[in-house]
Amino acid sequence: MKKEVQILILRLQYNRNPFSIQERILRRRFLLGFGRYLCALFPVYDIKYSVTYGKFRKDLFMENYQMNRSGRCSCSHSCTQGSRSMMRTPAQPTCSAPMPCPENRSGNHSGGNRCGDSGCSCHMPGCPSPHAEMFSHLSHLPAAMGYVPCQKFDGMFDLGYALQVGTIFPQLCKPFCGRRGGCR
Amino acid sequence: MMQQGNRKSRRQLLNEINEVSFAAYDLLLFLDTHPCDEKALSCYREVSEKRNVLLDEYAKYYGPLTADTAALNCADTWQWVEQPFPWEKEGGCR
Repeated sequence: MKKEVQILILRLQYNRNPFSIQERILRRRFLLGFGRYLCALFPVYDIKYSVTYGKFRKDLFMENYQMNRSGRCSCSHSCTQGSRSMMRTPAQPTCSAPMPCPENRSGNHSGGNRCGDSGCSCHMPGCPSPHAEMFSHLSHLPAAMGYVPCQKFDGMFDLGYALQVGTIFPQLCKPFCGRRGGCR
Repeated sequence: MMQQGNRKSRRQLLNEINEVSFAAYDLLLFLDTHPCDEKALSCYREVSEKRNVLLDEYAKYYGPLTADTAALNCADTWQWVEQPFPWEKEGGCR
């Protein structure tokens, strides 16, 4: 009985929708399945990150464009957490001095620690950053080495399309998605 | 006259040759670093064969594009020098 009432309410709610409830449920299931399928095919960001930055697939974006732009304060030396474990050098001042980040410049001088405490985007080892996840796949590689992963032959584009996009290899087709030095 | 009907236009043929030549060149670059890749090798053979056929066809109807195909034309004169230059509209310039 309860179920019937529920269905009735759903019917009323979706009255103007041309699809029946069953169809809608099927479509939703299909979309969820498709999402999972995509996740299995490509490396993807987590949902929160992809909503915030409007990206889903990891392999289509070059993160480096965003490194110095995305955080609230772009000064890479303003984090105390990373430099605490290292020897302090003049090149790595702590947050006790006012930093040249936009927040401080806009008149908010309540404390220099603010940058270091609240989600600073610096990329020092040991410093948690919002982009830590995006570099996780590099963690098993030795430091200070440059890497170019070897290409594998995985089919060809249609020849006409290949001439348009400048490569016949789907693996190498990386359209530039940035704008003015930053990601969209 | 049957051949006249089937014949591709000069631009169409040139376009196909461009596409196929680009593919051949890109595969060539791949094979430089992966000389033992069998799939790529067979693809290259296929594309290269197609390119040769198209070049021959072009040379037969419109004149030679490369010196290799310069002798294929049935005309009595040396067609190589009669061809439009690349910066002319007939030579593919837009």
